[in-house]
Amino acid sequence: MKLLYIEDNADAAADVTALLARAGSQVVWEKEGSAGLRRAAFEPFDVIILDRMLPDMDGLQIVERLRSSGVDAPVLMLSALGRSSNRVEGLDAGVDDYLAKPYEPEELMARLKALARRSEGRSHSAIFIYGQFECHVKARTAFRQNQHIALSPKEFELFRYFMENAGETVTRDMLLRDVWGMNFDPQTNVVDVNIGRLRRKLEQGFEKPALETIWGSGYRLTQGH
Amino acid sequence: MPIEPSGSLVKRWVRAAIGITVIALGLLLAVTIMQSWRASESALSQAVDTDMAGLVDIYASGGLDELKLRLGDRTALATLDGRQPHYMLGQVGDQIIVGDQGGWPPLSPTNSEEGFVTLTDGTNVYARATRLAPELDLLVAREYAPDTAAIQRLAAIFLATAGAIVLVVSLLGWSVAKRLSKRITTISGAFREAELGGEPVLDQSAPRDEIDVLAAHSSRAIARCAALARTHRHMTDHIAHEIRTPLTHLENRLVSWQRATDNPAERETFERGRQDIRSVVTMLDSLLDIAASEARVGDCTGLKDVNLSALAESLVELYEGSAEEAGITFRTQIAPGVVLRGEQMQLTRLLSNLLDNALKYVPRGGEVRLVIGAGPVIAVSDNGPGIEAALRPFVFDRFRSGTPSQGTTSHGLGLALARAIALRHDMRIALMDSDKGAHFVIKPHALWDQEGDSA
Repeated sequence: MKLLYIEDNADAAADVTALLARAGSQVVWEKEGSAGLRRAAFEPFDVIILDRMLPDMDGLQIVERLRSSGVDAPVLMLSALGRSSNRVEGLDAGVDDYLAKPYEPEELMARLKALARRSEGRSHSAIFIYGQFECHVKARTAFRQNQHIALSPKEFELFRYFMENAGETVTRDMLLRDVWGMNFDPQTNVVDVNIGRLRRKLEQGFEKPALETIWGSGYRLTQGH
Repeated sequence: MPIEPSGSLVKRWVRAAIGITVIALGLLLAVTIMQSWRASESALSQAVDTDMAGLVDIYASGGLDELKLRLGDRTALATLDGRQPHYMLGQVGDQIIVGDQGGWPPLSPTNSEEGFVTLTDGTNVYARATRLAPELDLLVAREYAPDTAAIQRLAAIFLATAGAIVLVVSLLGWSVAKRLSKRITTISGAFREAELGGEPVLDQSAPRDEIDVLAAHSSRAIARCAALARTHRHMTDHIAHEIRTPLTHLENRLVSWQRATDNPAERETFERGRQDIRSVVTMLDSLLDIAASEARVGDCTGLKDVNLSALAESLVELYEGSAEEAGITFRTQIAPGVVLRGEQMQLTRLLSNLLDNALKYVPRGGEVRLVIGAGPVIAVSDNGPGIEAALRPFVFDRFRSGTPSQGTTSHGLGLALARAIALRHDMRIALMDSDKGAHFVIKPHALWDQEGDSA
């Protein structure tokens, strides 16, 4: 993945650059909004990571100008402004995802990968197949090793989300945002409980786990064998 | 919500002014006509009495024949004032000796009665009858048609003038009302625009009158509110930025150290440090959210129609698993199609906070109930240990909390945020009296007031 990171704080930029370099991605860092805009206009990137509070301009302005100038690379806003209202503003302005600092490194990676996948258009299939699992989007049915699994409507949404992000870490924040439409953490174990219920249904009658817990960050769908 | 008046004060005043003008002019017309009529009656009476006195003298000095002669002369005369005279001389037994009428009008000569009468030929007159001798009666009458015509002309001129005055007053009044209404609407519009996030500027140059002064003060108040909102926003953003940024670096260092060590105890210590950082960030966000919600009471920016019923159903799906796992019965009663103008995410958070609270404090075997009704009315109740009496008055204050039943932690900000979000949506949250457990109700101020009035 080739990423552009627009961030005025050198320490923050170094942390993210090191994290992404370890994952094999190439990061171009710009510390000013105007320089970042110029760079994004002339160079293709898989994802743009953008700080919100930059010295020369607001991150939201940058997104609007990127979109108006035809740059359609997905934008993840990585900001110290992490309140629910800040996230709503960011998404309204046109960012594709919003992650508040401090962040879990795995969560940042998971979200960047999800954005890259989304921009490649891999999320629009009618049937997802991953290992032993099948998800038929139109019929809203789930299968493991050709065996139908009865899921409630919300459980199906959860399963579909895991299938869309098959093999990748899915964080609690991602699930809350994309499955339940919530951009805040309810501070209780509601997500874990719902995942637990889905897990029981996916694993009933099978020996191998369907979902694995990624300690401290989220969950990942296994191939089932 | 836009505030629309049920009527216009200025227009009401103008309508009242026109009404008062019409009534005053009507009364003036009535008094004028009455006075004119009385003056006419007095003049007629005087003319009749003078005529009568002269004829009585003639009869006394010249006798009946002389009187007949003079009556004939006077009947033939045409008066200058147009009040044509009529005379009748009759004998007892209705025999008319002199006069052009077929019968005696209903005036008693015995009492020397006078008044308005109609003669047998239909002529309206003012007349007096008197008894000259035991068997001789005299009637003197004057027509008053010219007086009636004069009064009618006077009334017509008066009505035309009054109509013109009312018309001028109306046109002037409506013009003033329109101008006043326009100027006041401009000021109201500025406040409305400010509510929707704009920063309107009203003309403050050289105030001509009180309304210009009001506009100038309003403009300054709006600008001051906007500046306060901006400052508040910048302040909270910078507080968040300046606290979160070093915490991010600190957490990144903890992550690096955590990865670098194989010692489980050290890993656990670093993890606790990271959890503490998350806890501080969560508390900071909650405090800033409360401050932002409180600062935006009455601010209509970002408000949309939110389907509260659908929102609640979605949250029920999220929470029913947790309730089941915790051995708590989760009952719901959600009326369909309850819509509220608000911020979807804030309302989600409001309900989520109340449900989180209930699930945190209710022990296994307990029950939590969520009710959404028209109004809207939101109620979350449980049969847990409830709120201790000493805490009840302060339960919506910051950093106030009871002891959770399942070992979960709390900053004591959830209910303070719920209260702030309710206020932001023109509603009020209250902790109701209940025999067991906690019972929270949220509804618009108007519904609470109605309940208070009917209580």
